[in-house]
Amino acid sequence: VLTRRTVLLSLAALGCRRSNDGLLVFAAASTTESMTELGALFTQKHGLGVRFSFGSSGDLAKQIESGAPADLFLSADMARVDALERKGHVRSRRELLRNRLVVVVPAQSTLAKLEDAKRIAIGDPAVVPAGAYAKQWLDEVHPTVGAIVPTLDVRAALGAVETGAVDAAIVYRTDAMVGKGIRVLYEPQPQPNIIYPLAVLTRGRAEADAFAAFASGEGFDVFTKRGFLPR
Amino acid sequence: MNDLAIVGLTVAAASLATLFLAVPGIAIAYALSRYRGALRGVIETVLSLPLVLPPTAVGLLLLRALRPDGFLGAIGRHVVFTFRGVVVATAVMSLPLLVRSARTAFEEVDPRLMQVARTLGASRFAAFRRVALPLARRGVLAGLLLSFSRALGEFGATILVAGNIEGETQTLALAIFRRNQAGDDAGAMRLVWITVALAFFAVWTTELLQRRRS
Repeated sequence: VLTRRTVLLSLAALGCRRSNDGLLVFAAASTTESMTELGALFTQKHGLGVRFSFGSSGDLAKQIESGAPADLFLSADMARVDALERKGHVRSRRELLRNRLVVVVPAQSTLAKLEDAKRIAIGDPAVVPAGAYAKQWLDEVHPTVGAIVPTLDVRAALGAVETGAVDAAIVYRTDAMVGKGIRVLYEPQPQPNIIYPLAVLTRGRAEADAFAAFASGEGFDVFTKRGFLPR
Repeated sequence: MNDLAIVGLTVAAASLATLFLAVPGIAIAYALSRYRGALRGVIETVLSLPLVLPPTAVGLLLLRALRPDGFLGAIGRHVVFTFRGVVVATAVMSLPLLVRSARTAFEEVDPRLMQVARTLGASRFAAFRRVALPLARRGVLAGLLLSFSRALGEFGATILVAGNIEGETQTLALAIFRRNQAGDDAGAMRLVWITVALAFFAVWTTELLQRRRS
């Protein structure tokens, strides 16, 4: 009985402890590799742990509105942060990155133009900024392309091309750079104006400001070396 | 996030959920096995809803109640999108399994044994604790194990109430989903085999318990 109680108590302790460690950063799925490295660098320098939740900016913004205890939010579009700011969730913000859209296809694909693709994956435009940019471009330039397959975030659209589940996808240039077994067909024109704002959230701890400064200063290399453009 | 840490987090969440469920779940099951009133059917149906509703529906109801502007917001603000959120969501989803299994076991206890216990001077609680619970223990244990297994694999309610935060709320089910979405097939499959092993062990133990009872 004593050992069982010990196990239960340590489990309970585990349950209480977790959420108070380090910073919690919500970040657009497209920044997964860069932010993971940035977090490790920040921890090395400041001794403070950083945990991440990567997903579509729409989902993450919704979670912040619903009370998620995030300290910072790196969104792939301005609109999400504007909406959060209007509701009082944003303490400070800075424009951190720019990105570009590309059309990607499986490496061995013989597809010559997007009009020939039967199925095109894009992030679900309702929650995924990359998908919204892509949809807007498609509507303007290719109003009659094949079936659109909406995905949960931009990385899922990339994954759908990697596995050959779709003929093409519209993702960020930076996603294409980490994709496996794919190639860039071309860059959509005209390019949308894609800006990533980094917001320090109202309930963020004081160290969140240091993280934001680190992201746009010393640590900024993690983004540029993966193809993000400076603001 | 390495595989082992995800397993640890998942097992911890499922254990805590089962632990918190145990007392209220067993109490409800026992009460239902004794209660013969008009509301019995309604109560049983409501308690079984998480079993048949889409987990995302249960998750959304929980989230709306628990988020800061919800009617449980005062407590909920410390729960949503944290490890505690995983525990709460999986506990709610697992409750029906414990209640149903334990209730059946309590109903199989011969009521005359309970009457004898009472005539010999046992209080209601003593009769429960020393007669009904020992006789029903296999069904109760099986219910706890089923709840635990369900909690291990819960996805829909968890992702709505707790999000998908690495090292905090990302359980095995969520990590499999995330890795598949991100195109990490090998990593996702490793976790799949781990869940197969865990689930096999939990369900097999439940089967053993139930077989020995009959």
